[in-house]
Amino acid sequence: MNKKPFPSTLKEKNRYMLIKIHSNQKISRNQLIKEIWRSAFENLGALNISESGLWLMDFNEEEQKGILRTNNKKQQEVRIMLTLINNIGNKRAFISIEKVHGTLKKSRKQLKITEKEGK
Amino acid sequence: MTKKFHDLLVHNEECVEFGEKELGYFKVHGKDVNYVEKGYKTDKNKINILEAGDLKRNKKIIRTKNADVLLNPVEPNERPFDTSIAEIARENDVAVAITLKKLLKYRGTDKIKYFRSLQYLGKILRRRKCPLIITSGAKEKLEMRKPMDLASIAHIAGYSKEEALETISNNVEKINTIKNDRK
Repeated sequence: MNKKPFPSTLKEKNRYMLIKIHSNQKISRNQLIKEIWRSAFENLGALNISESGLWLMDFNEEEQKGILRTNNKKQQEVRIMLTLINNIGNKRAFISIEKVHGTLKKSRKQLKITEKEGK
Repeated sequence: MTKKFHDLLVHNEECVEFGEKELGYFKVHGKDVNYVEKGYKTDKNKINILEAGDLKRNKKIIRTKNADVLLNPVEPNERPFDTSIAEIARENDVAVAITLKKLLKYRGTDKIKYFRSLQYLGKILRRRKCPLIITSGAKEKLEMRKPMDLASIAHIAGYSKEEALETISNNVEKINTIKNDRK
């Protein structure tokens, strides 16, 4: 028996944040993920993380830029959580939010544009 | 109308350049600020930022001539700030500021207590309509943040999005106009 599809009216509205890491040394994807989850647990807690739908969609290690998914309603909390990050993988760094898009396609387009400019 | 974002207190010229060129601030105040950690000495030609202490010191600061900003008035375990201080501060054109640098210092339960103290501070300041300013207090460029990220700290104190933007724009510009009027 097939499961019915999830109604589109109940789907959550996501926001895709284009983030940039500012640091003197390069940060790897795994280090970034570890630090984001650590900061999220410390500042938001398990309940707020589950409601925010936090996920690192893409990360470009050369440009040190990535795309972070969050819920529409938890945008402000996630912004605070990212602001309170001071170290990533024992290296001094901070994360800035460059832009926020409503669709993944647009934010990926933005990321690819910055990749091309870098070349 | 686009807002002009300010970072009121940095301790390094490198931060001023980094903030204005890379992070998008309209002005990062470095040399035109007189930061007083102990004592009450003010400079009438600069923006005077005095570090808060106990209740007695805070009451004296808001009555000091040429004092512009009272910095970090609350701690995780202490709150030497009340509605009467907020009211007198508003009458004497003294703003209250908090730094990101102090917030990043705390961990665990101390951080939770400090968040609670900021919520207490936010309620009093909104009640008495005393302006709040948020600044990085950075000594190096990796301690700075973008304007929107810095303003989001006001959300911890219970401010709305529009009020949070005021903390890094209009409230700082008001200090500059008051300073110019005094001259």
